[in-house]
Amino acid sequence: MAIAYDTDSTSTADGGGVTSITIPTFATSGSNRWCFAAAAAYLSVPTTPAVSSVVRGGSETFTPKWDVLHADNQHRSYGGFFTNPAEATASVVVTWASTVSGAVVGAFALTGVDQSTPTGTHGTATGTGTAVTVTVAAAADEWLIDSGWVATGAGFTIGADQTLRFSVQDDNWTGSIVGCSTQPGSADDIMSWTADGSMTWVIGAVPIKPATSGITVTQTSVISATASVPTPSAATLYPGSVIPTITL
Amino acid sequence: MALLIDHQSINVPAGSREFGPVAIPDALTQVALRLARQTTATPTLWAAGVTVDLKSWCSLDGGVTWLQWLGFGAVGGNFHEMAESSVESALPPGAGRQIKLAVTVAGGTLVSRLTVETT
Repeated sequence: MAIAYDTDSTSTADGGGVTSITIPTFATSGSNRWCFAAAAAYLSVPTTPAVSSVVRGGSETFTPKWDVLHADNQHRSYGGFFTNPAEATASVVVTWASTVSGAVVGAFALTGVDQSTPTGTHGTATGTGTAVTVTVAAAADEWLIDSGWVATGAGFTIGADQTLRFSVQDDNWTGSIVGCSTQPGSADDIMSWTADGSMTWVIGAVPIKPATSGITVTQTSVISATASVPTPSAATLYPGSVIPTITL
Repeated sequence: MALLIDHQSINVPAGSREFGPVAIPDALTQVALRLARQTTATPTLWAAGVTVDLKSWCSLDGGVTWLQWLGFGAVGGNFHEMAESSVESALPPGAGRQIKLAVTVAGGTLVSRLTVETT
């Protein structure tokens, strides 16, 4: 079953003292559903805190895939997922362990994703400059998804094999841009952005595995039976006859 | 740009208070919710220890049904002289859209100024 893009939603927050952001409601539908959330946060004093939870619809708690802190201790990027979200409209709340100065958050949904082992081995990278890149191996029938973050950005260009799914720029908080893109696993396994100028960046990427079929058949019981044949009596073997007697 | 709620002074004791609903002009595509913070120049606003959970709901059918929309949680006090805490997102297209808000306060009384801005 092929992976397909469903819907997305994004938001930004600024101004300091922020501990959580609610992403506007978005709907998920279709079979073998899967959600991904990306969150980038910045704090101007020593260390930006980690994401403490990402919850959709009040009960669907995401599994962190990465939460990478740049060497400057100020720029942090999270990527996490939830498998088989309810087929419904619901918002996503991202909460940090403590306050941040600003944050950009986005989430999207896919269909056709393997429900038991949805992701492969992820990769992350951080740096400063214009070439934002991470290499992650993916099989031909998988998708690679990435979450890139460039700080103080005027713009960026994604790799030729990638499809930009969303990008959000925080107009008030240093102009940071966060975006997510996808790429077929049959491409070059390189997720890249080229920033318009040299800047701090963080990127993470992970392969997504396709569902093997739209229908899953599970064996839930075993049916067994035994049969026996009664041993025939002498009367049955020789009906109406004299039963022979053998004397030795 | 349109200021649907323009720096409205609010004084919310511990508990919740709702604002709106307000109509969103059809042509606008972005909404931002802002709460003024304490700075050196505004020492009486949003004291330290006061936590705020700002939630909003958007209606795409003139107020008949409501979807949970933008929001943020934040704590008060002077945070590096930042004048506002805000959250912003794109709006879905449509006619007759409305937005309403709820501010839930704990740890004291929230004294601030509320702004809802669309572009």
